[in-house]
Amino acid sequence: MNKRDHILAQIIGGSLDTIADEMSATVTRTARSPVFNEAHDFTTAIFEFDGNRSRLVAQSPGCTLHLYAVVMAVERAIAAFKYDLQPGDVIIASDPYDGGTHIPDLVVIAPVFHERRPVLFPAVRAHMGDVGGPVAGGYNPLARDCWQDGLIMPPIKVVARGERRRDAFDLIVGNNRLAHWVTGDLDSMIGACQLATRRITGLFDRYGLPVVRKALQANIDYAERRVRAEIASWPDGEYRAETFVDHDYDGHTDIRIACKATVRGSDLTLDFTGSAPQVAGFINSPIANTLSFVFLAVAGCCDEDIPINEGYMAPVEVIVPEGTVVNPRRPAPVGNCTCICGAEIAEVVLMAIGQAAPERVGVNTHKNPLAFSYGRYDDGRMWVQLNFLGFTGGAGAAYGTDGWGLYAPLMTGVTTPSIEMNEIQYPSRVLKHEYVADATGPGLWRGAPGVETIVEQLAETTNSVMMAGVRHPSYGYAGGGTGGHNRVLLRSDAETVVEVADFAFQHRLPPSGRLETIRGGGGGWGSAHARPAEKVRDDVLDGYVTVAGALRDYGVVLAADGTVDADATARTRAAASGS
Amino acid sequence: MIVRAHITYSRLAAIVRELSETVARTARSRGLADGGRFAVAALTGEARVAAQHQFDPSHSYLIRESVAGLLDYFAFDLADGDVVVVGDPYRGGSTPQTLTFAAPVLHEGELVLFPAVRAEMADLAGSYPGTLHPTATETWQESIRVTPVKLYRHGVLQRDILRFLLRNSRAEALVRSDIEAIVSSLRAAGAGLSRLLAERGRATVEEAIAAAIAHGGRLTRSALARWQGMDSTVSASIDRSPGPPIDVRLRLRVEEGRLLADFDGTAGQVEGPYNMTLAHARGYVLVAAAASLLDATTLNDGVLESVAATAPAGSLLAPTLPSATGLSDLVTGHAVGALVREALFGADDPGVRRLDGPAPSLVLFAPIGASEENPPYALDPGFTVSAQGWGPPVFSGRRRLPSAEILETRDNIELVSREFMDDGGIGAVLRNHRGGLQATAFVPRSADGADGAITLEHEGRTTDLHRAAGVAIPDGATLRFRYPSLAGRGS
Repeated sequence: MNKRDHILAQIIGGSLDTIADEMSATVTRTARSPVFNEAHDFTTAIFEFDGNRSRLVAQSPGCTLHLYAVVMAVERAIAAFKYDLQPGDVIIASDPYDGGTHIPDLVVIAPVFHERRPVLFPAVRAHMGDVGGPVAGGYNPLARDCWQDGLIMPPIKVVARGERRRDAFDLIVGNNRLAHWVTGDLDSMIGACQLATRRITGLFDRYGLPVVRKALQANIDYAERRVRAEIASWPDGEYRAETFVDHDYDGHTDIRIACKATVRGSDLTLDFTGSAPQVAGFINSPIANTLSFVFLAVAGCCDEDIPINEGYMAPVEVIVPEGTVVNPRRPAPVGNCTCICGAEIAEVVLMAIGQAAPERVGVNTHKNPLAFSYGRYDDGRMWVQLNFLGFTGGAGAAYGTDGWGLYAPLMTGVTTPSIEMNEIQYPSRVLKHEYVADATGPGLWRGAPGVETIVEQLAETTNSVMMAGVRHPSYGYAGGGTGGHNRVLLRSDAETVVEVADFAFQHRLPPSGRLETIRGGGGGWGSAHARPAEKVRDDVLDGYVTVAGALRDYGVVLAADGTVDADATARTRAAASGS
Repeated sequence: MIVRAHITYSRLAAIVRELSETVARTARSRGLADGGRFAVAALTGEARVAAQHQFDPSHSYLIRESVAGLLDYFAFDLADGDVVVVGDPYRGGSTPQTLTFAAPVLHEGELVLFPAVRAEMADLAGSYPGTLHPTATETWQESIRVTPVKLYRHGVLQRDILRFLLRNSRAEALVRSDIEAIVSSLRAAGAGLSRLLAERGRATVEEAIAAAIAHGGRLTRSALARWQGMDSTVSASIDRSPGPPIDVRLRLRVEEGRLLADFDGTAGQVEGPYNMTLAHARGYVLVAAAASLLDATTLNDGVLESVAATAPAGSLLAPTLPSATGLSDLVTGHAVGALVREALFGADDPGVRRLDGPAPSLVLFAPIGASEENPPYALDPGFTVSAQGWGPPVFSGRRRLPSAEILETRDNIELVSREFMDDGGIGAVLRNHRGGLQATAFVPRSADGADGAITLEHEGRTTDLHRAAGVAIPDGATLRFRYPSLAGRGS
């Protein structure tokens, strides 16, 4: 490729990324649900269809766990309308067994035509506050089939040739408890796709399709070259790892997620054979969800300046046996899959790769104690809150950096709602949102601290809690320590408190009741005893580690005046290492 | 002219009956093929019922109400070849798994006369397979909510809409075939109505319909005349154990030959599936007042317009979204009808007065999640013996009892016994040889203690299934049904 073409490829690739950014801004500014406009639990991206398959070509930083799952959604949408796809169409879908993940994550897709053929597909995938079904909020820990998860939406056209298809749109809204939010949210997603359509059409008009396709391929090739170079830097071999989901919501614990990573030159094969069979509870991960978390893990091992596109997955072969918890058969329930076992899928991939390239792994995924609440405003309208503040904490360390930020990075793009907006939008008050000492994975680089959040409900609420990261908290890498264990307490009053074991379902809290979350910190990287003592002292001064924790976890002894007792520290660490 | 009008109308009524037969003979689900859980009608362009055929009271006003809602929703957007569907309790419906299908037929460009079918689907998601959700508190727990949609547009199937309905069913094959049967039946009936209009002319057909409606009105007013000037207030309570009972209050008047049912004073809507839409309740009022008339004449708008009902918004009988309504036929309708009968026939012998008689109900299915297709089947081996001493109560509708042969060959359920008991009720014992199953069950409680029962016996343990959702029915377990007899009992 000559320099001019290379520059043009960058310009076109950058244009598409910018279009995706503009889509994201549109959704943020026009959606009604706080899940969209505060927490940013959505992603926007652009896909190319080459006649056979869909490929990711551009994206905007969003909730990245959504991202790669849309590839399959686009393919299924095209298949559904193979003989009936027109300019101006907009398709909505959320079917776990037809390109979807869990039902609340709804995707809106619009085909952009050029010379009578659909070429590019801008898409928005977002978490809806409710999706009908038996349980408000779409998280039903008692679900035993997908219909108990919520409304299933196979690809359906809500706009046909530019005209709103009112009956289809109303059918979706009619099966949603939050019609006052979802109408605006769907409009924002549709609007973002329609905006992108105009922009992309302009791109075609300016450069022509052959140039655009060439640029897309160049960018994908570039990403692939970079990812291959990364993989090729890892020693060839087979690397096996396993991790476990705490429980399956059906009384069984330690659900195995296994991965064998095979590195052969610049090719990477990730084989999930040996993972547990699909389970009765709602942690099964449909194939699109599994691939999305694999993508997250692979992307997390690579340089951040590599453009995010299909090139990431080109060197990667994924083997996911059907009928397992990571590729279930219909109608297994999947409602919690984007939390559990999605997090474990990414974790096990990182654990496997970490044996080949320990300096490239870390920044784990989330193991969220998902607590959601719902109730009614004074005017009778329902609200649903996912308690994003309770997710905060848990960011793992990576080579060269302590864990940082409030969310586990592989869930990145989700933003912490502002406490002020939270208190405006929901009848609640945040009483505490602080780091917790000694709740982080120690290491040469330590994980981000744990966070304690206390939310007081100002009205009666119904609360469900799905625990994760208790039996198996976020693991460290390369010898780093495990992050803290998650805890959630439901407090009705000073004397009446329930600590949630596996889950709580529709637990009522009175006004002044409290939802208390202690979110474990992220895993560490490397040996804690290798962490410079002065850094441990800084951690103590910052309140992340206690004096006792400094000794216990890091072998660092602090004098009464807070300084490091170097001799005592050296002796302690030597004794621990047996030298 | 009267003769010609009658002949024309008879042909119309025959088309409607043929529509009913076609649905029953081509549908595959048991509810439609054996259970009569559907109704059919021919309606005018103004959504007036020209002729209707049904097997139970629930549909009386609901075809008209739901079709009126469809015509309103798709106003200015209806064409030949369209099939429009709705299944929403809050748009002229009742229980959410019952869908109304209408196929507009244009005569010289105008909507004059067209067929409609209202039918209970085998399964449309909800918390459990089937139509019984005794613990539901919201309509979304009972079923998906089918707001008005166009299934066919200009004769072209809207595949995404069909896929949407089918994907939200645990009995996809059954629902698909029933929809196909209904649409085919509508097409055939629509063709018949078109031929009628073509042969007789629009004016003649409309005159015949008008005459029949007028005649229906006169017949109904005549039947109600004996109560002319009546103004009676009655009340009752619906058992909602373990919750508090639900009060229903009715003021019933007959003025100028019309029956006016005012449910003011009835309890507010409840958190439980006892709520009943007003149009649904109105059907029970009509049947309660004019049951014998309905056997002798074709139901049409003339009959329907002779009864009016009102209830406060937000009450049990005029609930608001998203109140659950799934037990309205099993329980609330019987209570409403019984109140009407008490007001009208209060002094009479129960054998004359009572048309009610709720029955135990059970739906069986494979363990949830066990298979992609999990068609539920209602197990109703008997019936509450009516106050008249024979047959089921009028409010329970007409259906065929399952035969032992069918139960055993098709369902692997052994009918151990089915017989009249000493108290005149019916007892039936069944044994499950189908492997491990699950069930939802509900047994209504009545004020006079004439309750049925369903018990589960297995390995020496007996469990009463008064209100059960997702209960396990092990292989080899015995289900014992008891249906009460209401002969000689007061309400």
